[in-house]
Amino acid sequence: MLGCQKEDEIHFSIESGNAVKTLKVFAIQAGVEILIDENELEGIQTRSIEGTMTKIDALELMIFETGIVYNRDQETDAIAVSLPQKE
Amino acid sequence: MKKNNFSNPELSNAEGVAAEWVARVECGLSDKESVEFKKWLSASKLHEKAYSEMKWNSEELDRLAGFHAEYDASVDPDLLSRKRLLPRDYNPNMDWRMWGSIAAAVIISVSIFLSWKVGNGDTGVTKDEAVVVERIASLDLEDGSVIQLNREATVDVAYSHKERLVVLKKGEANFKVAKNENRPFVVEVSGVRLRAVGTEFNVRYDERSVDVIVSEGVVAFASVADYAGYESQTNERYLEEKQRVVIGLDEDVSEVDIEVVDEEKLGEELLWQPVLIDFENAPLSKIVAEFNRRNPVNLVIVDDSSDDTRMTSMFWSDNINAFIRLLESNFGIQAKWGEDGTIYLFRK
Repeated sequence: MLGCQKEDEIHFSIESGNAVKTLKVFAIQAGVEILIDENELEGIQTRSIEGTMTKIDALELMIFETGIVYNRDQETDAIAVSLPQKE
Repeated sequence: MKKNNFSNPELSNAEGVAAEWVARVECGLSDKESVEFKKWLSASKLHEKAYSEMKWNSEELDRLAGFHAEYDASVDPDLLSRKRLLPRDYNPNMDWRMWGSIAAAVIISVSIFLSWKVGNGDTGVTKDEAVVVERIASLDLEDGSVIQLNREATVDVAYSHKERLVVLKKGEANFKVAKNENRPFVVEVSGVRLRAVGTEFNVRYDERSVDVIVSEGVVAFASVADYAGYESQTNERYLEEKQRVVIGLDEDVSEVDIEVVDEEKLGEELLWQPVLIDFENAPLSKIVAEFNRRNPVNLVIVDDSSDDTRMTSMFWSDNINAFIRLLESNFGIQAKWGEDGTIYLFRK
């Protein structure tokens, strides 16, 4: 049917901005738990997103080409965002 | 280092001393040695930690005695022999220094071996076998009421058209009752009957008492033995908002005292209920402290540099295991489970 949402899609409306702030907004809108590395992400700008999509699509669009990485906990869907760990 | 009975100068640090104490304790201490040991243990928290770690590693040696090594670490199989390390027919006059040094050297070697195994995703105590802090369960009932069950609590739900009956069989639960005056919500626990119409209350049941605190609304309570049937609510007493009653298991329900609970005390009693740990730009220690406050768990940050980590968090307070997994995946922190359930966090 036209206009039907897939079950796991959510409407997101997040402006571009400081990753530390915008990623928290993402977590609130997505209804997920989140841990954000302040030391690493302060000052990095994420992209704006607008529309209905899955949580992961939304996150990946926001952090595209920023260098930010994320891990999603398989059991609980909680997300951690940071820069890649140094070896 | 102060003068003591440990002769090996290379083992003058806390770990070395701890390893030697592990060996001595295993074979039994005299009264004088016990005093000396307790004095050393209480002298510094580092000593306690070192001893705990060395003791754990020592006990791993027993397990490794039957273990066929798949790794390159070269361990002399004879050293894994319990008899050699910890002889049960030990001569009490034997020189402790020799046995202590051997045990310390092996224990430290095995510590390195086990640490390497931990770093490669394998350990004598796997994370799944170690402390697993269960999450708080929440039951959504058909009438819209919600029961939150503290860890290890169990209930039986027996709804009928006349009443909504729940039996608390074990542990602690918080009840948020949907309003329905025609169908009372009843909790029975150890001979006590609690009746609510539309309210929120907490019940803790252990081997000594039934402890009821009302957060919102009114709860009527009475002995199950006095209950005369649906149409007759005799001998009931009433608990109002922010009131508490603790009923000893052999106590007469009609004679127990009702006490008033202030907001702060109410919050303390209900700490177990999950809340979002919501911090911005907070050091790791602050977030860890909140997890410790709300759970039967002891997370310990071992090194100062780990606390340089600052994070924004929005995390359910009972989701400890996921918190630790994500610290490891994204924040350069490693968790190690101590034998007593303490979870040590340190930089990789």
